[in-house]
Amino acid sequence: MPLKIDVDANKPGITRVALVGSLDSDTAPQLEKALAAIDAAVLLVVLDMKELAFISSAGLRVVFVALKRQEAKGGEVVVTNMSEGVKKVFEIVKALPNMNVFASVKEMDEYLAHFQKKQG
Amino acid sequence: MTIPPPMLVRFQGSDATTANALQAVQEFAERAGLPDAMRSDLLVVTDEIVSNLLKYGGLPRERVELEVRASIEQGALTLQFADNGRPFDPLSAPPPALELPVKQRPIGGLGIHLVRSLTDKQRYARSDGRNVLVLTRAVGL
Repeated sequence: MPLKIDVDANKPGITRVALVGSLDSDTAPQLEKALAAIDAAVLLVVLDMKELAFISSAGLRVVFVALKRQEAKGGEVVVTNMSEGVKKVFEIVKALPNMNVFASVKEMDEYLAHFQKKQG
Repeated sequence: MTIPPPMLVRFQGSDATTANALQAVQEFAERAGLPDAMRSDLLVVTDEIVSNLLKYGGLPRERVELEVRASIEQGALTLQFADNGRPFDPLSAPPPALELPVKQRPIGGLGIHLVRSLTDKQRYARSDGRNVLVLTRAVGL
């Protein structure tokens, strides 16, 4: 089932990636490409999963690769707005302790503001 | 939630795709009025199983025959996948190394771990030249 990816790279150092649809074995390569194209200087990648219907292991792998890449350069991946089903999948593979997850947009915006201050 | 009639779809050749299997399961879940989280679980399972059997079936795409069945009976949803690929039991995959942090894990085994975690029972059989995988999950119907 299709995946639409909206990339917002307007804030320096932060790229926000909104996912719409399904992140499955067919669509995971699309996300892989989009994440690999993110500028090397971007330390914070935000994955907004509000409109993501489900994520399978193919999608998880792409997220993990991005996580490794970000952490290798002292950055991170933040995941936000997961539906119950998507969150459950991350929980099952015990990935949640490895990434920042935000329950609300407000919480995340506060984190982003703090992160940008740190960046100077 | 309502109990829809059992679903049986057969896909052959170029129609035997993960996308088509997902569509069929999605439609069944919608007809049954299943909650979003449960529908999501079924779609994850479908993606894992179908993408796996297409990858490891060993057949040229035009010869693939895939059958997807779904039914709800006595509070349990049964999802069944049958294919004509070489004998392959997806349940025999080794478990992933979940105790390691994500960064250190070899990438593998996650898919079947998800299938086991998102369903109550899983059963594989080789029958009449087909791999048959039956998954059940309790639903409140």
